[in-house]
Amino acid sequence: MRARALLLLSIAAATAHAQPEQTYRADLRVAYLKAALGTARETPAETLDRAYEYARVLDRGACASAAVRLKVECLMTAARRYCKNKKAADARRCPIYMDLAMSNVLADKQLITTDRRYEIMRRYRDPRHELAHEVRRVQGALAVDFRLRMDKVGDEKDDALAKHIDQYCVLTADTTSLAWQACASSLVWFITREQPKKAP
Amino acid sequence: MIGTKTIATLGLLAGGFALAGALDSLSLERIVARGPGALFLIGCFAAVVGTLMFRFWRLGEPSGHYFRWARDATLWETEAQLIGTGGWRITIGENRHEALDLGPRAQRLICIAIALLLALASIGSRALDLLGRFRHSVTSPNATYCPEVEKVDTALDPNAPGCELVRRAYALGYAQSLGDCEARTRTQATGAPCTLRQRDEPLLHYSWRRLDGFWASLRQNMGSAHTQKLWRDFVARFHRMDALRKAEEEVLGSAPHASHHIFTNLPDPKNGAFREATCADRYRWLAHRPPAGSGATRASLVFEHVVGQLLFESRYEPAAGYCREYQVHWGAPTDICQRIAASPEATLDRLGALPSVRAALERYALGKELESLAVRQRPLGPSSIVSFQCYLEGEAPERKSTDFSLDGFRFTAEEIHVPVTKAGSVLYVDRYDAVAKLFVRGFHYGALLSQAGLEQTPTAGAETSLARHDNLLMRLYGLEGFDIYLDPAWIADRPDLLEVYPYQIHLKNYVQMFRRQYRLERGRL
Repeated sequence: MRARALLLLSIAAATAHAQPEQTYRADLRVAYLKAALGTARETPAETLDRAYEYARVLDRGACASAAVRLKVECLMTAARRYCKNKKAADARRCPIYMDLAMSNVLADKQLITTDRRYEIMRRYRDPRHELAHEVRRVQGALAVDFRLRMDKVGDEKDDALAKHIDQYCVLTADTTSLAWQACASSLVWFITREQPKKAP
Repeated sequence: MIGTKTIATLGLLAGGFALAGALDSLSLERIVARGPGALFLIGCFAAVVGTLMFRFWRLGEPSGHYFRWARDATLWETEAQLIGTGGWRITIGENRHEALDLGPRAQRLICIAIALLLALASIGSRALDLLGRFRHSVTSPNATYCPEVEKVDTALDPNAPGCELVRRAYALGYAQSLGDCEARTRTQATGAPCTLRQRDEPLLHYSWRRLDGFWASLRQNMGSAHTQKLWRDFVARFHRMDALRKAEEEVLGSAPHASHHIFTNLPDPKNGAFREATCADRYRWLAHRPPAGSGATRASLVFEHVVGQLLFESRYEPAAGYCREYQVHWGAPTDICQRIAASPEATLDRLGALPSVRAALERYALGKELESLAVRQRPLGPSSIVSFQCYLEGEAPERKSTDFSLDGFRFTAEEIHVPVTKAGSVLYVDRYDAVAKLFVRGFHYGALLSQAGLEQTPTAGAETSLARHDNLLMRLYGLEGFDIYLDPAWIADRPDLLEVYPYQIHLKNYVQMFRRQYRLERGRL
């Protein structure tokens, strides 16, 4: 009898364990975006620029791959290595701002269509600069649309802003061809970088 | 007594105001909408034309004649009666500086005002644009000459280095063809022959060539062969007058170019689905996922969404059909396809489908009849423009095709049975598969058609990766290599991931693959 009870208990435990964890639930997404907003605000602009540049170089260089999954795994490994030797506060923030920077690099392809990219490459003498300008322009347009659509958005706290960003990106994924992660990372990046840093 | 010049200018001014009022040229919005360029042109036009009017009509001098409103019975010495009788008449006479005339300044101002009103009524931004284009076409050195022959410019070719190598390999015999580079070369080189004047052609030769061409075409058009051909065409058209008239009526009456009928045992959702008047707008854009509903009409809403997405949504590419030519018959019995096959005319008539089917077939027959008059219609058979599909939910999966004849044409009633969707399901990939297979016999969306391709993410790896709490943003890019339309597998149990899944990549591909095959089988005249 006891053995049967133990067996049932272990089956129940195994079943419960087999239930996949919902890591992308709305509340977890919002919490992560809130952390990303806070991290991006706290981190100096030069550090963010370095992280973005590092991600960009990896994306085009060592981690370049036609298989997205391989590229993502490679970038994550590189991000872990990058953050390994950071000190104190920066070590805490590093994984999040690296995720943000790398997500932004990966989002570039969605923000600029192939045709537009080709046009820029042909037309301008310094296409890299123009591409960066174009990404910033698209991110700006996205941020304006975000402000206009989420009419309650103002100078609010990060938790409310994160919630609005999540809602907006889930909503607009249906209307635009922008994936949630590309939309969210672009908005977080643009909003935190364009807003003047508050004095400590 | 008033001078004729004064009467004329005042009359023209009144006419100008009337014209401007009728054309609404004086409203502030219209004036502002013209733009600064057009307004500047209008001002210049008024100043120049008004001054010219003043000068050439000699409006600075007193009038040579006058008009007088005469009430007395006798006329003056130098005047004659113009209109009117008895005590009420207007006379015209020679002016000896006694008639009232406006001063030169007033006349000039009126002339400028008239020209201004005329310009306001006739010059807009479009006129300015046309003027600009006219100037360009007149002054362009290429207007009457053949353009320079473009050389195959390998420097501008985006694949220049590659093409250079390919051309070299081809020249040396290492490659059997130029491949894409050949197409590029040909595209640059081909074009209709130019009959304008050549750059180095003497004027006399060009004139002779034009004259010779004119004479040749005149002889051809006046020859008996041409006349006989015209007569034959006329007779052929005359004998098919009824058919031509019917074709004209079909065009004017927007007769259907196709007629496709979908029968389903699902209930009518009563939400205006597939309504002729609104369907084009309704299905132009749809959400990525079917609506998550509940109740009796949930399956109908999902079915409507899937059909709309596969056939009509134009977010990704032009629609595969015109929704007005598709009729969905809700609440049909489960043996509807057998009934249609057994007695097509009676069944379709009872369901109200026969008129549109006959209209499409009539259009097809008419097109065939008019083919001899070189009025070509699209090379589609009756089974491409008229189709019958039955989508039935609630039974074991089954796919059937039943042949039958209607009005002498062979058709096939396609039928698919699918089990009812599980309660609580949010992913309807199996519905997409069923509807796609119903419309395109043998449709199969496999790994080779998927954007994920053969690099489809291993399930176990992806599941583990997306269950972690770090790098939430970056990890999601891994989902791009996972096509749920191939096999949703574990992701169907992750509603959190379904919310952020990149549908735009794989749904777009699925729809494109489906439409590519659908267009091979179905179409519209």
